[in-house]
Amino acid sequence: MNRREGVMNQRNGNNGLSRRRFLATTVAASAALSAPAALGQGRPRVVVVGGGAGGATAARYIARDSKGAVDVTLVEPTRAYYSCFFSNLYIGGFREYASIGHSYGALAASHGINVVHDWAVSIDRDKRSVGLAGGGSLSYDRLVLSPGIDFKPGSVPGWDLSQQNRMPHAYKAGSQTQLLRAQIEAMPEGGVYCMVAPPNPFRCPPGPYERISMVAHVLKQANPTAKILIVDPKAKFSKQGLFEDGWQRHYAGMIERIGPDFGGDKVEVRPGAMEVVIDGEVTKVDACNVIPAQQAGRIAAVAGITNDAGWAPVVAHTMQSRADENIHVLGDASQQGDMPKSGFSANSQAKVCAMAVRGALTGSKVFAARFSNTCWSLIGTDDGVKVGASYEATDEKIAKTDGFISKTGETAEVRKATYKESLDWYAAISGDMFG
Amino acid sequence: MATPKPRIRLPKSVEAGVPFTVRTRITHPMHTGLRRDRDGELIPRRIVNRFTVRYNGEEAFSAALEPAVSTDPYIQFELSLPESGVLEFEWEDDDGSIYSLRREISVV
Repeated sequence: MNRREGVMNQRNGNNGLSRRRFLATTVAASAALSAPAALGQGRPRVVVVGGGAGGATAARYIARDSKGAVDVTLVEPTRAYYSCFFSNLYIGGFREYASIGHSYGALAASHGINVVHDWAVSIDRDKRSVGLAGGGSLSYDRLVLSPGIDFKPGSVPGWDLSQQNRMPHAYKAGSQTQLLRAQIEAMPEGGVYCMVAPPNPFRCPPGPYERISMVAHVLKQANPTAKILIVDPKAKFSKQGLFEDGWQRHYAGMIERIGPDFGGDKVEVRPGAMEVVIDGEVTKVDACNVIPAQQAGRIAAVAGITNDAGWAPVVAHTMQSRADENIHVLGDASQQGDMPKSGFSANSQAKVCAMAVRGALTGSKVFAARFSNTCWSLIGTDDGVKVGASYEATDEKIAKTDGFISKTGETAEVRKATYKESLDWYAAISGDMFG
Repeated sequence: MATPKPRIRLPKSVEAGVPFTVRTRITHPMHTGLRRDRDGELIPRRIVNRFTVRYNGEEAFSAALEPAVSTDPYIQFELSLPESGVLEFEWEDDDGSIYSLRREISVV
């Protein structure tokens, strides 16, 4: 593949087209070459690391709105993106797996973005360059990091990544999601599904509990005497009243949650024996979904811009790292204030970031930052709930201005409409990210 | 329905005569006898009607539960003990079942 050649050409300072050859696929290459090339060498360069809701949106908005005035490279190791949002609906049987998968083709073809399928492994902040696992490097005027989450080693004793096929996390969508669904389907009659829930803060606050709803939905039909055990280190969780009301209505007697008042914060797992030890008491389980404690995706720590908690603090107005004004951090990896770590949040932050980056590099107009987020969750068939808010940037943080949440006792029509709204949102954000 | 599962939470060791907190919970539907199922039939009453704690065989705490108590009854109370011994917990079901747990506790 000519990827390495491309890097060499760039290093050798060849003509302006050399950077354009820095592409991982020939489809992308031919498409990008048809974009206006005249701007060439002098264009400011933006490198975006991570092609999820933050990175893909930022890359697309910067490339699209600068109309070729900014050279945008997106570094993303996977060739197909499977969204974490809606992956629970696949587990519950409400979505086909293919429907949560997306291609980066249009970002290259329609917007001239250099899509590089590689891992960013090092960042030289003085030279402003990103090193890739494949051996190349990319220099930047602005770097956008949107690497999502990684798991904190040792947060659940007995579990590490080598056990993720026996006790999947399924908290980065893809093969893990498929594996978890297969394990749930393979549970013996009357078996136990256990989830070890994560401590705050973590990606998608209602996610574990929507997943519980979806697992219960599957088991209620296929294996109605099965039990669900949630081992939770948190005293409270997102949309708790709505979930517990829904679980009582749809799945009474099926779900038990052990909070910290009963030892949910003192858990150990034994993947070999398929056992979960809760404050010393051993429970045998048939499927076990371990969602460990989280921190910013590793490249943020490699860049040296994370705090002791493992997240990257940012300036709310522009999403710039507080440690380096040439680096912006989006989404789950950032520590920004009041917004939850969600795909919607990352997408919203990406637009603020894209505006700030274009303003800095091309002098385009920059407006006051506004953010919004909604987290929808599906509890049962056509039983959707949501929580959301609007936010503004202050010097201190992204600050919540007002919010809303579904209520218990809403009519079936309202719940169905909420679910429908989430489907429309999914279609919209997918288009917003990938074009 | 699945078998009710009782859980308790208390310190492993306590000081003599100093009150400590005991938390208990049992998974149980607590059918009031007044609700109807999907076919309109009354779901017969079935609740945990009595909860008892014995310390070295002698009753230390008990409670009578009524149909108004919610699903998965949670009971929290305090005990103070003079010396090490055995605590026995019993939940009595309307259907005659008894669910029990036993814990040794050391008093220092």
